[in-house]
Amino acid sequence: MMKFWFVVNRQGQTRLTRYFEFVEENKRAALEKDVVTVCLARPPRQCSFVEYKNFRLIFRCYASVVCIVGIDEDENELAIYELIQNFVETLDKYFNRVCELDILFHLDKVHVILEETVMGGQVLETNNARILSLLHQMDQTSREK
Amino acid sequence: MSRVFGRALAVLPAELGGSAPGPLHTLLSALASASSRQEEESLVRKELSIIHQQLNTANFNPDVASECLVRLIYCATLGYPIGFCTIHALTLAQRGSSWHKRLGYLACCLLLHENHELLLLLVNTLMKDLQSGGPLEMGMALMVAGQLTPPHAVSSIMPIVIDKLAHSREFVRQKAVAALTFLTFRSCSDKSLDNENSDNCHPSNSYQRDVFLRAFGDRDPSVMAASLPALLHLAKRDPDWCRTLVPALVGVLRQVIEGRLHGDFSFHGVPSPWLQIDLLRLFSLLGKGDHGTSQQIYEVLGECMERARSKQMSAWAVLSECIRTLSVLPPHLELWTRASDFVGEMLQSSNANLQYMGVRCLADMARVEPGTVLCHRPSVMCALEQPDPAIRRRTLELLCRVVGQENVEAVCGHLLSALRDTQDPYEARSLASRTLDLAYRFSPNSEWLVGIVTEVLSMREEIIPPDEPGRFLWLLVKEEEESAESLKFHALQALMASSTAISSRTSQPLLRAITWVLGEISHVQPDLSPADISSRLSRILVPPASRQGSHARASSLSIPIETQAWLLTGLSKVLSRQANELGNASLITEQIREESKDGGQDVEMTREAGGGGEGGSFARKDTDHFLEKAEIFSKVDDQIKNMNASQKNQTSSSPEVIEIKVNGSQAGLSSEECNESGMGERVDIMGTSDVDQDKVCLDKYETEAGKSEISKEDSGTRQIKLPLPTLDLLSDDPCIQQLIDELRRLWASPSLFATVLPASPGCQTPLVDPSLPFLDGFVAEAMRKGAAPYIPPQLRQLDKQGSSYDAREIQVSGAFSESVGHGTSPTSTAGNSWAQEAGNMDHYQGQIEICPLRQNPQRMSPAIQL
Repeated sequence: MMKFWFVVNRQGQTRLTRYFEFVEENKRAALEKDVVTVCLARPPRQCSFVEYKNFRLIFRCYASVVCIVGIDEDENELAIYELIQNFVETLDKYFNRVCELDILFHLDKVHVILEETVMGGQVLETNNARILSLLHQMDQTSREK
Repeated sequence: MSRVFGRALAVLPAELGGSAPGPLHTLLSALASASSRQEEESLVRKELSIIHQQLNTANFNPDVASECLVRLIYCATLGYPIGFCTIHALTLAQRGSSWHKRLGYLACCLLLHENHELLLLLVNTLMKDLQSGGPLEMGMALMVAGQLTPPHAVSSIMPIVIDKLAHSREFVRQKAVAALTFLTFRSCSDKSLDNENSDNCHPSNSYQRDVFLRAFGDRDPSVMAASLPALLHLAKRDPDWCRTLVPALVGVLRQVIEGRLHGDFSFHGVPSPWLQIDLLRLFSLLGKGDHGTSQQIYEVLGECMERARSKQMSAWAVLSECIRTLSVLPPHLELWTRASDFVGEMLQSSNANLQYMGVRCLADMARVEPGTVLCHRPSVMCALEQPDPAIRRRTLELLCRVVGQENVEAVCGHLLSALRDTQDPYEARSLASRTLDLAYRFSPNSEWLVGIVTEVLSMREEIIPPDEPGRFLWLLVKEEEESAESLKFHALQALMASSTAISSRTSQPLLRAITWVLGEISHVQPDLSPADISSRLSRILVPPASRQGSHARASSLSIPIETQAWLLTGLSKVLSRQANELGNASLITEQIREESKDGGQDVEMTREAGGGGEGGSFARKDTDHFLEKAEIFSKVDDQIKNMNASQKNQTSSSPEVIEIKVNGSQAGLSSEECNESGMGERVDIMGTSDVDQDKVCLDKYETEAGKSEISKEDSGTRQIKLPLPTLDLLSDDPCIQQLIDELRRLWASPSLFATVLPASPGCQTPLVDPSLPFLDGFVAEAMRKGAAPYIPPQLRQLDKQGSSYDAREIQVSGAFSESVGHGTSPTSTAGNSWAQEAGNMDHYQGQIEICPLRQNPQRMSPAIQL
């Protein structure tokens, strides 16, 4: 089970946070800061899996953003690592070469895509085509209205 | 935000932000140009108040509301609270359509949680959408229902969700399955469920099975994939039923790996890796321990492993899961060999992630067959020396799985060096506990074990496992064989050495271990005198430098109360040995005296200060006999001298002295020596009534010398300073004061000390009869004289008026029950000593109030104070 999903930029500023397990508001900022510091401090050649407190962090760096996912013991780390890639590819297809600004300006859409991929901490849909077709349908209906 | 980013934002065409620079664009630009945190904060707060105003207008406009919510979600991501807009999110979800509705639902998911008060409104909206919305609306509602439904609404929503399992659109069916999994299994694990909801949990397991089985059999792969987590839950609950599904599961996996799913389901050439991984997890649950099922699985597992050989990381992910499953199933030689080869490839890869996965897989295999590690020994040793901390940590975990007596020292060495290097307290804690576990299980000899335990105990207190030092001390106590002696000896040596290096940074567990070992098993080494040990312990309790002035209190208080209690108990054990020896010495003196025909020696104890006692001469009837006894006696005397000397070296505000005036005419000592050893001093420190009481008690001994044997035995005891700090120097805690008081009184009469706290080696558990039957006589006597019976505290409140209690009666019996009930000291000698001393109540009756708390009335516990 996944615990949270963050998207941060290379400077450590949070762009998207999604908690799958409830964390109190006052603890979120500290957790985010800590997690981001730990992940960004890793040298590039080291592995992308970090032991943090009593769970694990999987992070994946892209050109301008870093995706960080917190998981518990049961999950396959490499599978989540590839799931992050899947998610970013979906974003890429939807936004046509996604960049950080897309995430900023269309935060709601990014959240929706994330939700379609991972619902409540469990993998829901990994077929990009299906997620995108759903989104296009919604775009179409809203344009018609 | 970075300047580069800010500039990029500025030159961005307005279209990207929606229509001509929208409010979000404005907000983002403003935030980009904010130069400090305070500026950003003020900007955001201003924005939030504007949004609040916009949302609170009478007319509901979905576009405006959407725009506001997007900005609000952005602010929430930055960390600012947006709870005030929850109601607007709900309204948007209810009244918006398409993207607006989706946004409303999204905001609800982000803002609401299980115990939120507005959840009920959400449930109503969900029900409406589920029942009468289009497929898109249903999909949205199912997503939210599968994340947020509160337990009390499960019964109303579940039937509707189950209906949706038959919907024509596959994404609706898929989301319905996911929502149903959440509703069924999340609610079951929720312990706060009341009885009415529990019916929904397990009304009919068969009904649940049917539902999910139907979902599993769906023609659409996405729906089928969505049912796998539910099957996983069912398999955990009821593996036998799920085993019937294994052929179907094997068929599905075969179809997947043969690429018979639509191309869309592949990810970089690997057919649906996550689906494969879910299936493999199911296999590991179902095949575990079951040979028949495993036979069906092996073939497809082998195929899966073969086809997973590609350069793609997702393929390696599938392969790792295959190996994990294989390690759980009953062993299959051929597959195991192939798995071992794959692990070797992963370990030698240049990709750090693959190395990590390789170590992980090897750890899984080593749990079953530790010999697997041998084939990959060079790679494992390489991994251990990696700069990557995650890989090193996993490798250490792997090594812990293959520990035996021959390599435990090396493995513990690695663990300890990692422990010293790490900064992460979680990791440190797990390493410390693992080191100790391995040390206890596989230690080759006592000396090494003691070394490891001492080293771990010397670390920072927060990383020491909470069951230490108890576990180690228990080990010292319970071993009966030969090795026990060696263990005790080494433990004593090591902790004696540690005791010289105690500082304020010493961890409490180590302090307690030192105290206990010095107190309990120092008898193992005969050349260690009790005097030496008691002075060490008292030095720990109150460091010498702190004995003067007002600093005294502060530094003593730095030892927590529990450790003080340990120290005092340890001290009492050592002092009891001393008292025993003194008691023996006095018996020897008696004997010698009796043997002398001259018999002109007075056994009277002198009372007044300065009375050095008569220096008499002894007639030596039997020289040899005498010399033998004298030797023993002088040994005791040396100890006393040492003790007094060491105390003299300390500051002049010496600890309180309980002086037992004794017969100065002892064998082999001249009066000068008597004086030298502090015989003549009577340092009266305490201005409390205690000393008077002691004096009185001693008087009693003296005047009733004929009556009680106690006084006879005590007649030979030497004067000695009790190495206890003044009461003031330790804490206010009544338990600590009680312990000190007990010790002081027991020391006043060493034979009593020997009876109450026998110094026999070994840890004998004192037997306590909580009903205190020996008090029955006393209580009966008091009641006969008119005392009121004891009333427990809770009933006293009711009966307060018009009652005339004998306050002393209450206090005495109350004090006893409370002192016996106190469990502050590790051994229950505290309670015992009081209980047993009370047996000699005759001497005290009418003379001394026994309740120790009485001396400081403000410290009396409420139960006693009336």
